[in-house]
Amino acid sequence: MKNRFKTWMIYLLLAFILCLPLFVWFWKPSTPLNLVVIDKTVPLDDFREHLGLFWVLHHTKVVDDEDKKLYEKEVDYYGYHPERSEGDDVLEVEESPDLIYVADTYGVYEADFDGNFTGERSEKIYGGLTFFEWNRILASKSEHTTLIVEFNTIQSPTEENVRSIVERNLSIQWTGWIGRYFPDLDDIEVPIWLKTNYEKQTNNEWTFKGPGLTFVNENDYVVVLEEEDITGSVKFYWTELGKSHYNEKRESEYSYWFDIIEPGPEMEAEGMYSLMLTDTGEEILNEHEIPTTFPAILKHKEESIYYFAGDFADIKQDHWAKWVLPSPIYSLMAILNKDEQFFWEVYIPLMKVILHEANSQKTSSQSVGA
Amino acid sequence: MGKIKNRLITFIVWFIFLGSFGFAGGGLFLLFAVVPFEEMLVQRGYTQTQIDDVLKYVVFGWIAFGFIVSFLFYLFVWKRKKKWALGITAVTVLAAVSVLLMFIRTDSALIAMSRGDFQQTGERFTFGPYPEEELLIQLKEEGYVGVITLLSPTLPFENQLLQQEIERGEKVGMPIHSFPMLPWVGDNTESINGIKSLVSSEEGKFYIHCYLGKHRVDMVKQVIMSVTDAELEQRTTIFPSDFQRGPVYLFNDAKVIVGPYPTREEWGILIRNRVKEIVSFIDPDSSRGKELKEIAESSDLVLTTVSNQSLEQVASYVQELDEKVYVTDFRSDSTLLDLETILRRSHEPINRSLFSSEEAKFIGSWGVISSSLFDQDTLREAGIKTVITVTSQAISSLEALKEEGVQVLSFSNETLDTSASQYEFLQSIGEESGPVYLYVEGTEELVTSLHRMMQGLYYGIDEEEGQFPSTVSVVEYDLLTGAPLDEKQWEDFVLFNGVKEVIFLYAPSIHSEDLVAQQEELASRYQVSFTMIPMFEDYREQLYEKLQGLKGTKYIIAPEEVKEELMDVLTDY
Repeated sequence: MKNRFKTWMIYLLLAFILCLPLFVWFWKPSTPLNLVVIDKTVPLDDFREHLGLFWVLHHTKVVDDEDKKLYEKEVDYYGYHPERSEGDDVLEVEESPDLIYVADTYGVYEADFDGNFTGERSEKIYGGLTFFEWNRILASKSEHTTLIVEFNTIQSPTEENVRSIVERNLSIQWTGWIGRYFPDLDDIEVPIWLKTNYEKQTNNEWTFKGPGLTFVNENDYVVVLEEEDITGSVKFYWTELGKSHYNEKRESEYSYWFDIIEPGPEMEAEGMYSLMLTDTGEEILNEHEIPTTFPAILKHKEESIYYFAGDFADIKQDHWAKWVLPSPIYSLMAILNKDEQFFWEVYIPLMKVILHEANSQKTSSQSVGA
Repeated sequence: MGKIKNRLITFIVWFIFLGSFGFAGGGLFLLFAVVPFEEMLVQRGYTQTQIDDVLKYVVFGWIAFGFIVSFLFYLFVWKRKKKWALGITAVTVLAAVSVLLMFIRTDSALIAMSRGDFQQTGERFTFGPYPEEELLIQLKEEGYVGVITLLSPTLPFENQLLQQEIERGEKVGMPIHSFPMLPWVGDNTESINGIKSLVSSEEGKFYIHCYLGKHRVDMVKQVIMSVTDAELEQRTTIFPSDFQRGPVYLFNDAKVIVGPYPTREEWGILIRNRVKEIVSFIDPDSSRGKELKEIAESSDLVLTTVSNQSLEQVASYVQELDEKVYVTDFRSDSTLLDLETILRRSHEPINRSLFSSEEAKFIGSWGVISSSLFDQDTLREAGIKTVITVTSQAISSLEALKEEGVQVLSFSNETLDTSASQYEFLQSIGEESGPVYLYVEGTEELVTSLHRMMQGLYYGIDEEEGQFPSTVSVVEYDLLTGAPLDEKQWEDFVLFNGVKEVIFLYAPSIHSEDLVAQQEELASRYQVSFTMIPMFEDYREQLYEKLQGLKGTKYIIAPEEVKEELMDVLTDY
């Protein structure tokens, strides 16, 4: 009888220990923040372009300042809504939100509704950041508002004049190039438009195989680095400034689309991309004036304004977020989800700090107001 | 047998000459004579029916001319010098082939010179010339649902272009709807009915074109306007303050519009703005009067002729109407200006003929400004009810008028030495009752300056008299747009020209809060009306609402980056 009781107690204790991360999350106080999320690239109900952001919001227990409920990835954003097949067209933002996050404005295209596994280009249905939306964002932004703009916001189909205004406001300059590392250039992941543009440009068939780096500029000019031109994928590393800001030293591979941005005088790089190249690879990039290291995370020197030069919030699958564990668990998750290494190693720690700071700024602005 | 053979050869040569000469000469005659002639008729305000009547004879005239030339060719060349005749025929055949190639190559320089512009009517319809493949792709990308082609397969080169267009449409995935029409000659009723039925039954945007994008598309444009009138009910529109023949005045929330006799394009603006009745001072028996009747009938407009009625009766009639009305005379002459005074200020106009134009400057038909002191009888006869004197000393001779109930206001001319003080003075006298006489003792320069400012405050700016910074663009005589202004520009431009209202299209992504505060402060300092409209999604509606019916000169401060779009918004009639 006594032994059975002991056994049960052990089981209970084990269960408690196992559930402790969940209990801690439930016991933890929530962080009310007034957030505005913009994502125009939601053709399907996977919400992948802002999935990573909402995971972090749930994980850090950020709730809506108004109703104190967790943000819902299905409804709490401005953009295209696949369930009703229409996009929002008037961005009504309350004055002075705590954080504005422009996740993606690329938009929704006809072929997207069938999955568009080949990445074929088709007629635009909705997309591009408008001059009016950007005005709304800046009009609502106050000193304590954190503004995060992520790739793809200023690229096509956003009009050129809007892009140059955003660039001026953010103190950045897009070089016109975007790029991506592919583990296999023959894979279906390589979009068909990239192959077609290359074939049109060179009159050669796309016969690449194996890992490679691809770059495309705004005029659809394609540059391909094959296996022999590279020594690895795209690496992310923190600058000294980044390390001091986030207290993070973990490097990571970055495996999705990025844009090559030059910071203006008011922006500084906290995180960088580095391309792993052979001498030939470097020569090819030099020919096209493509740098081999360039900013991944840019922060304004004076204000809480960030530019993320990649699809940082884009993750393929949703994970259970309501738990609290020490941060090395993220590295374990990164090992288990190789494709999402950057999300676990970099994006989560990065966003945790930014959200914490946004909350501090809100609190201090409220105390000043009081 | 030999005779028959000779006759056959003669006929063949004559026929080839007639055909090639008629085609080559006809093509060039079309481009360099008929099209410019038609444009001239359009500019002069002739109706489509009148133009068709004239050009029909021009076309038949050319055919007759071709036959005459070919008979002369037979009599004087073929009969006498056969080798010469064969040479000439060869030249005309070559010329015909060249002209055919020129017409088929729609990107050739000669065709490009004569091609019409792209014109958009509302959200759904764009009119223009023959589309190349690139344009079809672009239309597809921009979400157009179809192309309406008016090319006629009876014309050899148009037949080839039509086939080419259909093939390209299939390739691009753009439906091509063929409704063949012939310019000036032939009955196009069937095609017009087909177009009406298509655009009524199918939603979406269409590109409509003929060969040059000038004549046939204009005919279709008018049809489209009548069909889509119901759609336009939903659309917010702006009305121009200036037609080709003179200014346009709006009253009662733009329900009563007074303006000159419209050109063909301007009739379209009236229809798009849902005008239902035309009130005309034009003699109904004159050629212009008959033309007006024809236009009113074809556009389902009620036509009321008021050439025998007093202006007061006309004013009272148009103000009581429920529907939108356009009151017109051939030009914005004194009749319309006098009517404007009655509608604007509810009093009789000044009898302007009592004042010499050398001595007096007029503000509409309700104000006269002069450095000459007119005698009391003239002022009485002119119906002046308010006398404002700007002098160094009070004028005692006006006392008698005062006793008769005329309002006399006296101001000192010593302080009116800057644009700011003059503007402030004119703002302070406000809209006085009855016809106003402003007597300015002093230099003619001060009279000119006050007159210019009053014109600006109540009507608009004369481009020749006005003074503009290089950053300012004139949209219409009472509407200008440009960059934010510094203090000096406010004085030298806004005040100098009598700008009534400054509207700031505020773009937070471009304008700093300090700049907004500065512009607001300057407006307040100089007592200029100032409105700020944020450049959000609904700025166009807010701007239209603000501009509609706002009299006097308006200056819109707008970001340079959206200047082109703004010009489209401000001229989207």
